Amino acid sequence: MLRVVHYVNQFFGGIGGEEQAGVAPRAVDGPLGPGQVLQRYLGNDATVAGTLICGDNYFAEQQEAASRALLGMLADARADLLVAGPAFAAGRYGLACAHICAEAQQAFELPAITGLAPDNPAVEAYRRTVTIVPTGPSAASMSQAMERLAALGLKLARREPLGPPDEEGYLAHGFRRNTLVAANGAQRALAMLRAKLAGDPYTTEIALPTFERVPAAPPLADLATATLALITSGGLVPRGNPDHLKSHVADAYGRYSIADRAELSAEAYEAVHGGYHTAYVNDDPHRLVPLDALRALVHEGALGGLHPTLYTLAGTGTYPQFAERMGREVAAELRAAGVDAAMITST
Amino acid sequence: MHVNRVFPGVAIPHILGNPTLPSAEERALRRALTERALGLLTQPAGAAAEASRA
Repeated sequence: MLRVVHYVNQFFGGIGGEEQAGVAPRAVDGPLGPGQVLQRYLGNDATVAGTLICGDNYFAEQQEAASRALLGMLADARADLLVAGPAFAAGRYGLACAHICAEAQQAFELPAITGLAPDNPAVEAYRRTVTIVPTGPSAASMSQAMERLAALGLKLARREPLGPPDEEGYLAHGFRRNTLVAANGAQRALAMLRAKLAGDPYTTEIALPTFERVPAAPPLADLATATLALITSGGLVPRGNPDHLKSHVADAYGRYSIADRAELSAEAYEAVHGGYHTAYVNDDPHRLVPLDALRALVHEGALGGLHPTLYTLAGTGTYPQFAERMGREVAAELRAAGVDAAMITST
Repeated sequence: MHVNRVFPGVAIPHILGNPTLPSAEERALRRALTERALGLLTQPAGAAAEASRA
């Protein structure tokens, strides 16, 4: 019989509410609370051998210690499957569920599954690596969620391949798997077009990515007191590219001090970029990053000041998820430094 | 959609310069483009066209 371990927070583990959110990981034998619902749907094929409980705040504040302790308990329980949650729309609980699933998969190749509301913040962060069953926003959808978690969890535990997300009822991992189908591409495309023209439902085979929308910052009240940061996607780096920034498909950005630079000389800088002819920028880096003009404007009092760091990467073929991560990191750093605005020069 | 926090530079390989111009003129061109960018930062995004170009 397959051994299932169930992860829950302090609330679903019956320890208490928010006042108990700091409790450290603990393991108990058998199912608890929602684990009993899980056991009902697992039927005779598997047993909820144990329940792991961790306070939401403990997990959020001491993620490494919590993960380490929980992985130890998982190993002791000789689990064939980890079911975490479901956490519905809960933020901290959702992140804990998704994270412990990802860790268990990585540490032991243990099949793992969780249930989250599709707009839970943990979904975007973990959907590529963790199998997530979509749930409603609250525990009102517990029974339906557990039924799906049990059915898919058993498949994962038996190492059976999952079918497409919309058929099986989990959130798409975001990759495509090749399959053989009877109708060729032209036939399928025409069938889709006919359905579209007739107003009938159809499913695209290539779902377009959705991009995050970021609200524009409010305008500056006074340039003369504003601090401006310089960012470029034109790949300007110190000559020799000391950090080996990639010339395309960037996964990292450079941050270089310009605090003591009056100008950007061709001797000290060069552009590394696989998407445009860099000779003009190599001759005069100001054609990409206008430090000379900005220094003059600061000197004249038209602009308050410049942030001491230049942020740079080669912006060509960058994956949106990498761009979102890097954008968040740079924005947080600029905000912490009290920067008021940024100028991004792009090629 | 009108996006007034973005505007085109001179050309992709030299957005803030023009290698065919004499150095002083190229610097003046860069200065004007830089001032235009700073000016856009003082206007609400997406609200109105730049006053100088309206």
